Amino acid sequence: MNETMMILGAWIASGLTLFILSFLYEDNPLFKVAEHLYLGVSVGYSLAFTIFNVWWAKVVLPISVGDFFPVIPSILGLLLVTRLHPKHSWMSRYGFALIMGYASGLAIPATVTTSFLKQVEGTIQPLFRLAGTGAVDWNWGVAISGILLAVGVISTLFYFFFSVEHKGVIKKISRVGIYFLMVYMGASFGTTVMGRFSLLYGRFFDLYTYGTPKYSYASIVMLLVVIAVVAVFVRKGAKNAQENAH
Amino acid sequence: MTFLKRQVPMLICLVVGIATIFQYYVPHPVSNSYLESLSKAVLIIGGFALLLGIISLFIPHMGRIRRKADGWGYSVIMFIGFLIGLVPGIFSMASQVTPEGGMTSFGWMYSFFLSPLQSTMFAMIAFFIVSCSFRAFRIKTLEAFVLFLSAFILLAGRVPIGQMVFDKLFAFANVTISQVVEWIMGVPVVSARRGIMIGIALGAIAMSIKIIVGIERQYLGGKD
Amino acid sequence: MKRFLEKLSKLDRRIIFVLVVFVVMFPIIKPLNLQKLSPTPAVKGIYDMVESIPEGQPVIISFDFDPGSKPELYPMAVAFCRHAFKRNLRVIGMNLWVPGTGLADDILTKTAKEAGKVYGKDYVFMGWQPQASAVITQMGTDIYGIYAKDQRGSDLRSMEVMKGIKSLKDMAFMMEFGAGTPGIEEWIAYGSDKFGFKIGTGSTAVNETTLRPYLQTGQLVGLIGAMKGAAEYEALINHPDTATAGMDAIGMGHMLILGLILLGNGIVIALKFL
Repeated sequence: MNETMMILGAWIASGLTLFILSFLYEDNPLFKVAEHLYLGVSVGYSLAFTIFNVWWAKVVLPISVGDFFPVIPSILGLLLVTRLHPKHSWMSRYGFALIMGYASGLAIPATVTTSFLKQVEGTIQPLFRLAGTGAVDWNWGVAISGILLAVGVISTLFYFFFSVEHKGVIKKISRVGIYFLMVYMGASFGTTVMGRFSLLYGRFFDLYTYGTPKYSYASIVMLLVVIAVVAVFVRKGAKNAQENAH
Repeated sequence: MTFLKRQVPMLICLVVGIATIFQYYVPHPVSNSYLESLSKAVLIIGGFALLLGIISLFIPHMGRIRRKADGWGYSVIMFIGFLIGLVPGIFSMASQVTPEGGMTSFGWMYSFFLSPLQSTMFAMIAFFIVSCSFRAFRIKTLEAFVLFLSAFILLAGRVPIGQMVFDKLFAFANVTISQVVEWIMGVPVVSARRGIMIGIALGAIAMSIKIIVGIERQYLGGKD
Repeated sequence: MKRFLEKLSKLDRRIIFVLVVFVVMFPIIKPLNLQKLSPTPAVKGIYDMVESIPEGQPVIISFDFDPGSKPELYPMAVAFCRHAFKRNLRVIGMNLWVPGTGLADDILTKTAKEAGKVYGKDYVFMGWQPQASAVITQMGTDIYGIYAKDQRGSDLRSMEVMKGIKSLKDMAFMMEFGAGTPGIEEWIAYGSDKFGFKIGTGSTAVNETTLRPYLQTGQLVGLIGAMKGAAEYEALINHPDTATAGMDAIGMGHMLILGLILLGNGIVIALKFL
């Protein structure tokens, strides 16, 4: 890819980035253009991969060499489209039924092992940590953490058990669970903030890079263009509002 | 006809579901070959599901253009974007890198159209988090205080500037804020998350069983 | 004073947005070069795992993210690939998120070029396939049932990099960089727990708290969480890059949000007494 195309790309990228960021001031046509462009580009991009990685590689090529296994799944896949036509939508049920049966059948044993049994094991195991010699190693820090872990899991489960009224002992245990959940949510909030600022840093770093002479000051020029367009749009909107008021 | 429209799909779901559950615990070659064939079939069917999504998306937008409804110009932009995403992909055969390690037209489109658009959409959330935190984060109860304290330690303890300030302030305590953060992430966060996880797991198992035995039939759609 | 505080509590959000732009842009234009982060046990787990793998062994990497998570996951994926190539491991790449295919290809190509590695001999990119549970389940018994050809259309089985590999069980280690679903939870449920291979993950900050239980049970060998984890990994391989540079901006952002929360609550308390 030659340098001219890279510079053109930088102008497009910085322009589209600033179109979307212009929403922070006010909803405007530039943001709507970028929004609809994003929708179309992502669908087109996904379709390109599906054509070559699935339809061509997994259907056309095998059939062309005499392997007819993909025929029935392909027919079921095409029948999925009948979902959109109420009279014939029953034909799509075969494909969906196969997918749902497969996914549900896979999910049950996997969930039982990974998200249930292993998690219960992980809760109990720290309470019985054995040192290499086989003796129980009473490291107080680890022991207290292990006890707190078990208390936290049990009290959280009590909080989410709504089939029994939360009163008496159950209410007290649920309250303990709430505090563990508050710590979890505070940690989630903290990590979410970090994540979002990371994304913002990435965008601003690109804008800074595209504002250098190497890319003909793309970001700076596009910023001025966006400000001008949004200013005209806001002024037009204010004028229309004034006229409507009269 | 109702048999073909309703009973047969539910039977397919039941048979496939039960066979797949048993397959997990049966290490026999026949069992493995059943799963391989079914996985291939589901992969192919799933690949056609995108077609359904695309048609569902195009129909309302085409209607808007035909009727010249409000904002129909944006629907045209959407179709232009679709071609921008698809055409280079077809010419490059969905490859973004040339054999020599350079960039194809598809790769160029990805780097300068899709990547900035998608990244910026998600990056905007940072602004709203900060604004909402200023307006709405009010510490009025003990629970809210615990939430704030946990957030405060995580926010301060996971960045260099926070670690520098708090390690200096609490140097007498002989424990760094990074160690406190690790303990919070390793004990109370794990225990609360695990409780939620176990609850979700039990719900997912129940829902999967309901789908297999036909109690949950929303995936069938339609009225008949 | 009361009127000033009331006005301050109703501060136009666009002023807050300008503050956000300032705290993020300032360290980009003028780097602060604050202290490096010391590696945490979770990140060190991945590093130690890679260090323990003998030369020439295969590792499989799944790049399950899209441009929306690029700033967090791209740097850690680059750092990991650099480490793997430095250890002369065979690297097999793939992804389960179609919008991430370009990023995955770019990461492998860039790091392989730096290390002087040859496509087909030292590394390969298998590309994207839909239906994650089907892909992982199938790869657990026979990779070539799903990936007969690589992303460029070449036959996989004949490649030197795939020598001796039939399924995921033949991999020395599996590393997943994920931003959500399908991702590491599917890899653990349908992959490592069923077929018994070692697995680690790099995740976004948002997902880190949800994955910690898997780390505690030992289902994950290690966890590189967020840009902070990426910066720690860069420090471990002694190659500071984007993540290390980015931590200054993130730190400023964190201080801003903490300051605003304290200010907001301070105003409410002050107004109660005025």
